[in-house]
Amino acid sequence: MSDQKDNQALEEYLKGNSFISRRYRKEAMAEPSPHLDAAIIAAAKKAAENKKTVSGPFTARWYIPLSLAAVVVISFSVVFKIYDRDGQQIFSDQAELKSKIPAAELDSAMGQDAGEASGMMRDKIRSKEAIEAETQSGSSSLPAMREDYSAPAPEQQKKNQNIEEIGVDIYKDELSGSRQAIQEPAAMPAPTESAVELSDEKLRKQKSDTAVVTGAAAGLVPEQWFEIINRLWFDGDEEGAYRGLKNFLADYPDYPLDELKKTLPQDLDLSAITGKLDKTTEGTE
Amino acid sequence: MADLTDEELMLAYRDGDAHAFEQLYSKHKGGVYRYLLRKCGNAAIVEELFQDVWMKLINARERYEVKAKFSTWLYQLAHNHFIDYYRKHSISASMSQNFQDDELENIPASSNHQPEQQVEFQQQTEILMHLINELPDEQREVFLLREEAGMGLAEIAEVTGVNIETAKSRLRYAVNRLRKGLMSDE
Repeated sequence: MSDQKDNQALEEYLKGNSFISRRYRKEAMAEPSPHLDAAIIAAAKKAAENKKTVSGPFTARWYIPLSLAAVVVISFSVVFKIYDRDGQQIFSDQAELKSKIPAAELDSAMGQDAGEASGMMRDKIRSKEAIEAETQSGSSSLPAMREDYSAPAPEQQKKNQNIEEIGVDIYKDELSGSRQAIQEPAAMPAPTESAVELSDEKLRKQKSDTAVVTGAAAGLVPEQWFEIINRLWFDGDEEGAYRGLKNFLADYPDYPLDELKKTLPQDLDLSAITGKLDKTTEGTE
Repeated sequence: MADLTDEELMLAYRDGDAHAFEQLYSKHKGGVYRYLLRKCGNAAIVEELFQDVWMKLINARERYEVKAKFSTWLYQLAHNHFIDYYRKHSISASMSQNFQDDELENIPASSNHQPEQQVEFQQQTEILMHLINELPDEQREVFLLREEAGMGLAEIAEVTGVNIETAKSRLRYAVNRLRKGLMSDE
């Protein structure tokens, strides 16, 4: 009963016009002293003035976050530009070297001492998978070409001649490019002299094999055969020259020996061809 | 400017408008002053506390955001500063209610009454102020927040840091005591 009365009194009081409220509001209204008012208002004005003088374009709240965001964006764009430029340079180097040096040759040419460095270079230039794919496609296509080979028609022979010219040019480019890459490797330790000689020999052998096999497959005319054989001979690849001669004779078995003697180097022993060729061609075929 | 709310005035002052502060000050200075005076009772301490509260508000202006009513924030500052002051000076808060009656007599009286009425009114004022002074701290505080700041129970609960039911209970006890005290005196 008492609680209910108290609650009613509270509700009446909360309505805002109770006896207590009226009496409280009618009583003396204490106020802070005027000098206190003046001191507080002066302090507030001073603070507001400081706010006005301090405020400017570089004191705004958004200034620092905006500056940081701008720095981040500019930094990223600069780094991206640098990376992009270097990336293109590497890519163009890769394309250039790819046209000149098969990676497998580069590895063999550099020898054991420079093997590690060449591996690094190879990794940079092209992936191993790409090398293997290229090697496989090259080796698998050649036998097929050889099997399909038959005496070319005159028109076909002309086409072949063009192909052969291109092939010889590629051979030249590859040989010179490989040597250049071996002798002047960029940012790689210089290979030893013996390693260079060894790699030269291996490279010549590999090139002669390629040229001889390619020439046979493409159906070279005798003059082109002679040019290749002479080149191999004068490059010191005696073995390759004999192998080329054997392949030539396989294509042109009735070619007169006198003509051969006139065209081929004097030192090349035609009488010993049969015996020597039997030995060397076992491995290639 | 006259139509602006307290919160808008405070935002204007935050942005450097000193006139906005003057409006806020003139509107709330009496309530805050009396709130502290009734809680403390010592006019000298009250002046110090009152100035400190407004200086805190001035210094906090740049961080001000409208999260609650301005009056709630202002009285929260006053409430917290009052507690901090008494903690700092190692004075029991209960001592604040034991101020001398002559402090109350210094409060200026309204001049709208005849001499006889003024005497009677002065007596009633002394009784009411005595009764308010006799209230426990918590009950006196909720009563003062209601009378001086015009706060509802939710705001009172927010300022004093209690739930609404507690605030309501305290106010009910305070009103009951004052009502009984005034009725018995008449």
